[in-house]
Amino acid sequence: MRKRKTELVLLFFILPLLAGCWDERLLKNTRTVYLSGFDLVEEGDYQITSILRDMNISESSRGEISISNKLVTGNGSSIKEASVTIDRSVAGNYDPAKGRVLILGIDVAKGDIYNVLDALYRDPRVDLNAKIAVTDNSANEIITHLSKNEVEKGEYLYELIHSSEINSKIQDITLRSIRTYLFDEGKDFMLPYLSKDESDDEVKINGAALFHNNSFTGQFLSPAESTFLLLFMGKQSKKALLTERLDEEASVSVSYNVKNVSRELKLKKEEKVHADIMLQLDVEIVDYPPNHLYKQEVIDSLESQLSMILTEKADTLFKKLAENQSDVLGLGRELVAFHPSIWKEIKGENYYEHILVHPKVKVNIRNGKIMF
Amino acid sequence: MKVKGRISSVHLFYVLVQSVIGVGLLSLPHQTHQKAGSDGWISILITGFFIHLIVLMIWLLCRKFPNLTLFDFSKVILGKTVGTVLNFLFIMYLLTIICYIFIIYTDTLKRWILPETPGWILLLILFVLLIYGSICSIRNMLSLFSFLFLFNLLLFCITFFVYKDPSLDVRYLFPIGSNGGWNILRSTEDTFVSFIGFETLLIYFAFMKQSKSISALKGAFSAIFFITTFLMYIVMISTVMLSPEEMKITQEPVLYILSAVEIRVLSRLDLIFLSFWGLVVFTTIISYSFSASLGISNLFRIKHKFAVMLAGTFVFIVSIIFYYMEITLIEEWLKHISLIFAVIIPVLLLFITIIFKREAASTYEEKEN
Repeated sequence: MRKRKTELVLLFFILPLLAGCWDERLLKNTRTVYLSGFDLVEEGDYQITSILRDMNISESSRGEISISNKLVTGNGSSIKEASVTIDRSVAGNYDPAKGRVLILGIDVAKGDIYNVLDALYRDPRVDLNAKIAVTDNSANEIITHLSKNEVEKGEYLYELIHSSEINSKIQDITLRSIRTYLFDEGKDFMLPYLSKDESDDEVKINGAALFHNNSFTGQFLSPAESTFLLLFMGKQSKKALLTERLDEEASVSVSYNVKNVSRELKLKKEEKVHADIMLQLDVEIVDYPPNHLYKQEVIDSLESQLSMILTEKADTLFKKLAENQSDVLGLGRELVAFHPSIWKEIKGENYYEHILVHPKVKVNIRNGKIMF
Repeated sequence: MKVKGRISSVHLFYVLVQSVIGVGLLSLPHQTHQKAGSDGWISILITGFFIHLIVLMIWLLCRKFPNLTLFDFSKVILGKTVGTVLNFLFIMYLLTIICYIFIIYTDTLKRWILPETPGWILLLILFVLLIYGSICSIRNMLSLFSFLFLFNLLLFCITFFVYKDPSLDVRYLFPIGSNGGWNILRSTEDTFVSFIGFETLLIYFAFMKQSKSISALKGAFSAIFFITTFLMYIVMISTVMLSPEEMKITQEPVLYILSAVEIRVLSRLDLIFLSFWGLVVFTTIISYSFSASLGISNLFRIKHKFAVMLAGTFVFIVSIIFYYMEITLIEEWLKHISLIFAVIIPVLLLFITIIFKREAASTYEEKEN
């Protein structure tokens, strides 16, 4: 019995030790950020624009929750200073790290984007799964527009980007993975390129913004090009739908879904570094009105036709990448890993200008659907 | 003083794994990367191999003195005075390691999840756990360890969620050996620190049912093998996930990677990892404090219970002082002192035993005389 008592007393001593009481962060005290945008304004100051979400639990109507949004902006010579400026203007704690989507204005994106992101990585509470996007204008404008029109705001944009990733329209990049690319000397990346469509007044993803080192080149790929490039990288999602026009006059098109990709990459050094990429695509036809796909000749001719068209397209795609020196494919890393002697000769900021890519595409049609 | 309590080689496996895997796990990939770059896993492999050799030597040493711990046979080998001094130093070493674990654990927790909680609270919790966990017989400790081994496996399983990340790039491991053999070898002195804990074998072998038989060695070897594989896996997965330049600025790569993982209902897996890791660190602390208390009770001829209290209080006070004065002395010297106590001393003892033909029997003869 005495032993039991001492145990109980001990328990009471242990109780106040339960940690966490110091670190409680009550929902009512914080202002949840759903969307943040970063811009460069005059004199090199940064501007943060955020949408805060407030949940008001009303006493009168049986605890019904009403959601209101608030648009806030703040300037400062660094990201942290700008967020402190906002913090002063709102009640409660402003915490920019919680945003689901971060938008980079074009001026910020054209500089070193790590300058903007650094403050975020230093915060242990940051949501490293946030998506990052680039706009063709200032981030402020897009967010102001969103705060007026869309009900869901941050969620809307997040879903927009997420669904594009599922359809292999853009590279799957989060706040965490972008840091890997930023610090990698032999790899570049692309980010979703947002713009406001004037005709129907909506924010849309226009394609993928190409980056070179840590800054936006100013060029972007169309969604189809970006899907194609993702196939070359072997990083497509389960769905990768492409459409090609086979015959200009008869307007015959074929749509296909890429099921499987196999890539063969050969690098050799002559005067320049030649990269021969052989891409084999296993596709299933999802839309082809002329039909007759049960005949082997039709399949063969369609395969060769598609292979030719795609090889041509790949050529233009890689020319575009070479112009911008954007090594999204990660050839530099390939050289570092498997051809260190070549890499030693060409390494540097602009190593990509020493690389010539010769793509070749071969299409194999597989039948995976309910009809030929 | 012969020890009681018999453990099998399976139990030895648990004890050893729990003593070794602990606080160093989180920053290991970062540390190996500093010298060995992307070849950190090779230096882990090399270290693991050397540890096998050292464990073999410890076994050869201990099998000469069945049922005697280091604190007893040191006196046999070195004579009473020198042996007692060695015992004292060894106890101090074990306690220093516990202090180190206390400080690193508190520091990591404060940086990652509990920035507002005062450090002394976390240290106090560890202190209470240390006392609670070490006042027991070796059998109780074993049942706790074999249960908590589950959490080691869970740590392993959590990392599987990383694989779906599209930025994973196996090419970061290549070219293998690019950092040069010398750098890889030099990096082993850093990786060695994450293997310390095996020197507790000097004590645990005494508890074995048949410490002379090869099965005792088997238990120890399989434990070291498991640890090597586990650490290598952790280093490899971090290397694959982070680009080389990024690794240089990431202190706890494993946590950083996990904090980005999101599965359907859960995000921030690093918090789950940290809480499991806390249990794993806890077992390391118990193992060390148990060994240290055995030594203390041997040295001062007091009961195990009081020895644990003494050890705990000492560690608590020292770690609070070191934590608040921000003394990083231990971290800098840990490499060297652990090398002395875990490698050089056992090997020296073994040589003395062989050359001067010391054996357990001689103790009793002395006593009789």
